[in-house]
Amino acid sequence: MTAVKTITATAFGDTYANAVGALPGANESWIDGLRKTSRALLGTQGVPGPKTEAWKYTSLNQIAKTPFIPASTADDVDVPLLPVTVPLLDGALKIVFVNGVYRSDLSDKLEDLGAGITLSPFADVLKSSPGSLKDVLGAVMEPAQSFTAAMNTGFMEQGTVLHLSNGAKLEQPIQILSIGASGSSPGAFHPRFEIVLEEGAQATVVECHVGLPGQAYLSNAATEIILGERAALRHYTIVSEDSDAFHLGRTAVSVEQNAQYESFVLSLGGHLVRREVQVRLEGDGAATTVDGAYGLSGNQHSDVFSEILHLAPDTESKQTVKGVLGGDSRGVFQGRIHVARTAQRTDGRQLHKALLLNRGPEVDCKPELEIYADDVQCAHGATTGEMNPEHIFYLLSRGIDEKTARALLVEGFLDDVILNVADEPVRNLILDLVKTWLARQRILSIGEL
Amino acid sequence: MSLIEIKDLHVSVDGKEILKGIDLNMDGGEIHAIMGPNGTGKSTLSYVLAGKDGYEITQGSVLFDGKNLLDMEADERARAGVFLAFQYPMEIPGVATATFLKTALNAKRREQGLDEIDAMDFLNLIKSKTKELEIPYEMIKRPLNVGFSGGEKKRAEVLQMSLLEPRFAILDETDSGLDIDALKVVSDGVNALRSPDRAFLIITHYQRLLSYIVPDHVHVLVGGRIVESGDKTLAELLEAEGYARFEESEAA
Repeated sequence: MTAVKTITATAFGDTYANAVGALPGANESWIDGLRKTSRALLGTQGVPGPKTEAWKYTSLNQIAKTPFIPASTADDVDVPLLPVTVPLLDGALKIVFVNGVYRSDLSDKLEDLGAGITLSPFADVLKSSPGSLKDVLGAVMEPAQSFTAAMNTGFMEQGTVLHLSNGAKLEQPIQILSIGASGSSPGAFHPRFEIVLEEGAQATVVECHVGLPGQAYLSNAATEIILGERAALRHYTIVSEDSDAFHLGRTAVSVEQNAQYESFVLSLGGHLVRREVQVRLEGDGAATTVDGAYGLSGNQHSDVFSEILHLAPDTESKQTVKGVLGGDSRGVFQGRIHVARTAQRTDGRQLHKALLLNRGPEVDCKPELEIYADDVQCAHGATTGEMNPEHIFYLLSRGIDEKTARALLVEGFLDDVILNVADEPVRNLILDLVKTWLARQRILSIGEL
Repeated sequence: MSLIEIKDLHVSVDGKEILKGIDLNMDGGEIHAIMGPNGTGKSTLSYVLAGKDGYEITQGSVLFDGKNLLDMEADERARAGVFLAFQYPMEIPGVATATFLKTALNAKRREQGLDEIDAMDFLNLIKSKTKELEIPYEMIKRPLNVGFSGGEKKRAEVLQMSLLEPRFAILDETDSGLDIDALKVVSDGVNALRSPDRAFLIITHYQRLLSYIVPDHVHVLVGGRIVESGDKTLAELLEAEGYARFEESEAA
């Protein structure tokens, strides 16, 4: 086998090797050590292939073969204005990154967010007060557990740090916009978002990953979240990358006693998108909702990789992920629910439903339950199927033409889970994005993707 | 010329003949009831008239207002004025009832060369219709038929009918699963829609519904054929005597 063995040695060539020494916080030994350990993992383990269970259904060959440069060094990228395709949330505080680089000129002022609340560029914190991240950075985003996490941690440069002290409530939602735009060479960027909510704090964060048409780029984002007792975070992720782009993103969350993590991931764009989520329910009564929806057409590939760890008694997790697949696309859902011996009275529910619009797409679904406690309620289910002809006939019988009927049913299939989004403005934004996506797929005019 | 002319209609499903020559003429303003035991082709007739796939018409014709109904797609039939109230209305998650109603109403309006209905006018229309049918207004914000009780589903069917103002309405076992109060509300809704240019075909197993919606003609469908026709007293006779004598003659 002469396959690509390591990302550092090949695809991420010399430009990367030269850049790492200048990364913010490099003079801080523990940060430098964290990066080096992560890059060493990439080096020793190489690019995971089909023999690695977690990557069985998603090939990284295309990424490994692309000679990426650090996108932040590309100086021929011009983003004069926010592109119109960016889904903007009304009233949100916007913080914008282009190719992983913080753009204060495009962002709102990160000040006066309320007592006990700070939102800072990640690079600034690494340079000026790295000590504040010592118990946070890498606490739940473990490089050894995930190639995606290792790559991000090895090359992390910019991003945000959101911190809420005890009881602080963020009134305004925060919208992080990460825009990919390659210049003459394919670029890669590794934004890092740190979110810490202390006891009883509350916030809403919307993460949007979008891109401009052009060369393939790699967006390798990682979001690390620590929720203290009774804290509540609503965290919504929208992936609408350019159609040639690669996206490898991971969210890792630790949820303490009676805290709540509500999340939704909408994935519509990108050539290859892998979204990983790991939620650790660490404290009694911790609860999470980890829903999502995706739409695929052409030869798009989407991979939802989820691990919910029930590590304490009386914890609850709910997960519904629905996907619509057309063209020759491929959808992957791997979901693991782990219930530790001590996690009695766990309630864990997981459901993946895929709707196939024609005979081209393929769905791989691997749900796993690992239960070590004896008093638990756990259920998982998975369905893959075509549109129900009885449903179509019902709509036809009311005078609705077949194309419109199919479009309504596809939209309804996804809306069904989107309606779980508790935040109303975000819910409406996601509903609109799905509607626009469906229209763009010409589902209204040709009846199928 | 009658509004609906069914002539010698033969229908097979998977090669098995279900309807074996139905003849039925209906004029505007009339209510016809088709009664019969289970498994005799009642629902087949309603689906064939509404245009559902999977039924092979081997012989015969159906004219609706002089046009060949069997040549039209299900949605064309609906826009031309055919309406089927389903025995088991579909639950469709994620599609809001209001969105569905508006889409259906606008499809019909476009057919008639009218503009799409104004959002306010639509809401007012729905408000008055839901009030008439004692449907909680909140229901139309919910996904179509999802979590509706049996009675709510049937009321929602009548709401759709009332909104779309068909010229030919087929009610397939609308009384099944209804308690007496819901039956009365649904019947009142149907009776309110009676008009000289509208015909109803009521398919039912029991006479009960016909005490509320009084038919002009009653037909007995057994073994894929109409074996007897009469006025409303035939329904009462059937209720008292059952279908046994027809089934025996069919067997013989």
